[in-house]
Amino acid sequence: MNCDQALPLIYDLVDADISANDKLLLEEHLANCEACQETLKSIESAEKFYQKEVLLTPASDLSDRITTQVWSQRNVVLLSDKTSTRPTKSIIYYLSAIAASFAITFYLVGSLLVSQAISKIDFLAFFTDKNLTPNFSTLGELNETNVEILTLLAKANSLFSNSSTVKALAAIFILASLQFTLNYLLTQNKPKQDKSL
Amino acid sequence: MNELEPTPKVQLEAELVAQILKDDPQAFAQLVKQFHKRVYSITYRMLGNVAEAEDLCQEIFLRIYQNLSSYDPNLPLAPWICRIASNTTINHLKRRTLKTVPLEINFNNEEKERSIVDERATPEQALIESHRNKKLQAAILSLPENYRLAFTLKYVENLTSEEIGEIMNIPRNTIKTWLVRAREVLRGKLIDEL
Repeated sequence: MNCDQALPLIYDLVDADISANDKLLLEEHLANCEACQETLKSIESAEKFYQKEVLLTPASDLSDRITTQVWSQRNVVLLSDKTSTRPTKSIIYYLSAIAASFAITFYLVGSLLVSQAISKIDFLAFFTDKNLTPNFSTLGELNETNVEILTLLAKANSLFSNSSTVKALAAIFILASLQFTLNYLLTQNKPKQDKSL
Repeated sequence: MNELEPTPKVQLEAELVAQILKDDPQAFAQLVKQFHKRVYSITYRMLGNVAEAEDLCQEIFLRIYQNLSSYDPNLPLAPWICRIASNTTINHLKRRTLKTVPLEINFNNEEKERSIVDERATPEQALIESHRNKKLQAAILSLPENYRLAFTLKYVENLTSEEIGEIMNIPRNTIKTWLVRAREVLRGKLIDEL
């Protein structure tokens, strides 16, 4: 046993929470180590100090003040005991979040697929391949269903690219979603005030 | 800690709680008198500010009152109260992270004197005691919150690592490690006082 191993056992000894075997090992070490003997004395001295000093004597009227205050307010519900102070999420929150998610996904996937189609790379196969291995075949190898999907996505992408109304709506949905999310996060971290005490 | 037969002390505590639940203000006053010193010691040692510690004591006793119906009369009251005091204090520390309450003890703050001077001591003794206790408080406040709470519970309530672990919901061996580390830090800082 070295001194580093002995230290926690010295504390166990002082706390009277040491096994017979550990006590024997520690005593053997202490018999041959003056530094650890000094450490034991220092820890015992500190122990007496803590036992005397940690428990405090509060102001003499504290007990009466607590009794009076608490008894008069004993039926008051603490604000921080309420289940939640977060704002109730309205249906607009959910609709905005869903719409924003759809708008972003639709726009990104649509743009990507159309650009891939233009360069004659079958990016759709990447999503449809069960092994998730990219399959960069040409558009000519696509079946009819895939072509129909790509055509539909191209039309949707064109609508997004050309219609300022759709763009404005998407922007509103995204901003609203961000605003609700930020509001939620800020409310969650805000300290709760206990006005009852 | 579970016992088949409640000890006479536990029975007395259960009777006291029953009286409070019957809306007896004298019984509540007795409960506060019995435990306020320990609750205050936990809050002050954890916060280092007299006014804040006293306010938190009120909140803790309000919580104790409001949760008395859930107290198991077969168990000792002190660990249950310590658990409420510990949880409330930790939650308070989390809440005040955005506020600007000083963590370090101010050695010139006269307000703190009344909390840490033994009223029976002579003026000279009181001065020495006050200085030693301020150094102890400053050293305690330098500890991480989990070490601070484990250390405070140990010496305020004379609890074992097992009992502290039950209060803090932490394994006994972790508490033992925290206590060794905390006391080594304190011993290093207080070496001149020991």
